[in-house]
Amino acid sequence: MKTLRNMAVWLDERLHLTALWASSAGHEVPATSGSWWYVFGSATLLCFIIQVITGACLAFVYIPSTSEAYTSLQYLNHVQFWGWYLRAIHYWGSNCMVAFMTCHMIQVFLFGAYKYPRELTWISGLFLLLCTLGMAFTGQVMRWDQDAYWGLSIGASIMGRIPLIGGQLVHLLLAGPIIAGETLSRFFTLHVFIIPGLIIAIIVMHLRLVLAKGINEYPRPGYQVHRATYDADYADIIRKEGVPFVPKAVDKDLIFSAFVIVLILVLALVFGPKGPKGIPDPALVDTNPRPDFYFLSIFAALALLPDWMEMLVMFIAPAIGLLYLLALPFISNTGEKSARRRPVAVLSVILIVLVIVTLAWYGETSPWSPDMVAWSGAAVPVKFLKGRTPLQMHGATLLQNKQCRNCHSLGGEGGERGPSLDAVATRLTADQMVRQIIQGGGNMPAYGKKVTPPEVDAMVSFMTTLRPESTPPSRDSAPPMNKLPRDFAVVLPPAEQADAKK
Amino acid sequence: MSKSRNSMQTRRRISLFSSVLLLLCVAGCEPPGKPGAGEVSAEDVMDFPTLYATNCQGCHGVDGKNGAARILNDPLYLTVIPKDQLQETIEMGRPGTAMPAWAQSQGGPLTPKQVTALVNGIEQNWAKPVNFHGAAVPSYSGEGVNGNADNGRKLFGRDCFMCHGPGARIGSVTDASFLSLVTDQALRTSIIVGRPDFGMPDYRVLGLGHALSDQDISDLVAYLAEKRPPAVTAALVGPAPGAGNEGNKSTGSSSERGTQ
Ligand code: HEC
Ligand code: HEC
Ligand code: HEC
Repeated sequence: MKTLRNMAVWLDERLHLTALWASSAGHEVPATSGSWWYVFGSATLLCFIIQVITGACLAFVYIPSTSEAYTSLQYLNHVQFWGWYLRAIHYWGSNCMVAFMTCHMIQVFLFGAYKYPRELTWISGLFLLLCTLGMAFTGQVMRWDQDAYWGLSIGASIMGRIPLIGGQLVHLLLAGPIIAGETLSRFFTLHVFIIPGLIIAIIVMHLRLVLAKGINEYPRPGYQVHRATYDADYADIIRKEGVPFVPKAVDKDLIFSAFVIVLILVLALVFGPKGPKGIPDPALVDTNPRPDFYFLSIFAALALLPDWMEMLVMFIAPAIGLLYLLALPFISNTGEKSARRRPVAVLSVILIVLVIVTLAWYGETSPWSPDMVAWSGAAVPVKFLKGRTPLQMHGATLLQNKQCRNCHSLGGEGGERGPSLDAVATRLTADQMVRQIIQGGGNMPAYGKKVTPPEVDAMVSFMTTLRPESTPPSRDSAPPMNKLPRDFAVVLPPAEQADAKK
Repeated sequence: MSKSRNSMQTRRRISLFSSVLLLLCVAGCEPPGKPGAGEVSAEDVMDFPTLYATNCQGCHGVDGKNGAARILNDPLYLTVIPKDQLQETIEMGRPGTAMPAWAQSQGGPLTPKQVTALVNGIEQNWAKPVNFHGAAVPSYSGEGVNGNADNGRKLFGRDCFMCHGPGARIGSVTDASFLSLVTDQALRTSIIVGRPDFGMPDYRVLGLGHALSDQDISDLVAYLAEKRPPAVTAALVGPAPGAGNEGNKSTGSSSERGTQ
């Protein structure tokens, strides 16, 4: 017994394990920090560990080449025993990691934990956030399907618009001028070596800072942080009500971690892995690519914004946002920590969350993507055909044939990219309809020379009958004869038209 | 004492519950998240209702009637049109009109098997014996019967004017734009089978209550065709090779888009 004890003491003198324990797991934290609000950080870390383990397992099978990435995922999905479950855990683990990281960030922000003296903890956390989003993006590319292709081409087109260095950046991102095999190799390296390495390094620093500067005490409304007094105040708190992190404050973290594990396992079991959705092929227009949920809001913003705002939203806003977040601990370095006394902080969190959630919801339902089968599958409602002239009937078939239905609904069926045409005659005159078809505008393609004058005539004649039944189309006042200007056949493409006007 | 027994019991219950859950998952039902064999590709769809509903009903109407384009669910129509013409129309479409080509060989989305499934589906579901009341059955295409436009004009004034004349209830069929969008065949079919879904009678009664003859029908078509702007006629009438004017091209490109 004594020899054992001696050996332990000898080892400890060499390895300083007791000291390590005392300064890490056993270090004293404010008793108030043993709160349910403080569990998200450890949950994020747990997710990361799960990602590393499942990721390593996936890497045994995954082949990062354009010809085999897809097949190796199909192999995991269908052949490998519970291989699909491994993929599902990795996918849902990443979703959970982003989600818990967001919760952690919001909590830290609302509890004022970024203030003096924890500025660098916050900043290292921001870099962890960036790296995690980088992992999410590169991970999505690993699937090498239509969604991956979409994500890459959007990413590249955003980068390409950066002034001066845009071209080089695209080259750097894609490992060449276009998306190709080299792109996949590059993203594989990023996803498996570089970013995880960075994350581990930053986590070490992040945790070291947490230990060095102590866990933030539960904020008391009215207590002001002053640079001169805070350190003494914190030491006071620890002296009076400090408890060792293990075993006194860790219980809620453990319970929540168990919950996180069960959550990921169940989500993976119920919802399964994502994709792969089909081989990426830029020639397939008929697809509906959609990014993973963390990028849905960007996807939606891109789709909804007018072109001129894209630059603003894609670059300037994120750059300003990031700079602001980096500067935050210096801008509001001292003062009130409690969310109860910081209404602006609370309101801005609510606002930002609402905007992101709404955009993500739009991204998920994406009502702007055309309904690709409406033109041949969605019948023209009979009420819009009763009592119409032969010309108008043919106008209706042309509305189908020209795929107007893919963007415009009739009787609730069809795409929602453009306004419903149910009552279009109450809004537009025949001339305006002609102009809309020929020149397009506002996200509607210009049909220009893709339609002949009789076709336009027929479609417009049909559309002029589209109004509520209480005001039936009047044959006499608007005979469907050729009343339309005949010279629109020579309408120029919009660009040239603008020139001609000058 | 009782407290610890209680907690013993709850613990036992929890472990029982979770092991049952685990057993269910591992041994019992298929987990819902497990990926299926993959989606059915659009080319594997063979059943007629689905094929019709995704490809045709936009124009030809739910269940083959009340659509903007020709009624297909009509016994008279299906008696008059030969099966090979039906098949050919579906495969090639009608260039210059809103009817796109459907066969993959023509740039359409449907495989030969799917076209056959459609043709058979239309015939099996919608064709029924028709009572012709002694009228001769006109030929679908009217081949070999040369129309006489002058006689057609007279017939038109007699048989069609009350519904299609200027100011009449239904609306013009001599309108240049309308005629630019339909083939002669479609005009002929309209006269033969009418539009039973919208109230136009068929050839058996159109001749003032009597049947129109093959010759009458051809004359009427010739009259209507004459009213079509000449530039369009070249593109629409018959499969005249090389008749690719602007109208033809544009619809061709639109049916390409239609098939993506
Ligand atoms: C790619 C989708 C798309 C297609 C295809 C499309 N449109 Fe549009 N259309 C739109 C959008 C979006 C608008 C709204 C434009 C705006 O806000 O100015 C619109 C507007 C219109 C309007 C004006 C509606 C109003 O109430 O102001 C008409 C009329 C119209 N389209 C007709 C057509 C016709 C006819 C076709 C087929 C030849 C067609 N559209 C094809 C997207 C489309
Ligand atoms: C975009 C509208 C549209 C769609 C979709 C469409 N059609 Fe048509 N179809 C038309 C029009 C318009 C005509 C008349 C063409 C003409 O003038 O000859 C027509 C004509 C036809 C005819 C010949 C009618 C006659 O005059 O004898 C047949 C048969 C037919 N379609 C079958 C189909 C089938 C089967 C489908 C589905 C695979 C289909 N169509 C899809 C618009 C459409
Ligand atoms: C009892 C009234 C009536 C008479 C008589 C009549 N039609 Fe019609 N016709 C209609 C109706 C109803 C429609 C369908 C409504 C529509 O297309 O606007 C129609 C449609 C048509 C169409 C267009 C079909 C299409 O969708 O392409 C043509 C062509 C046509 N008629 C030609 C004729 C000819 C030729 C005659 C004379 C032999 C004639 N009609 C006699 C009522 C009539």
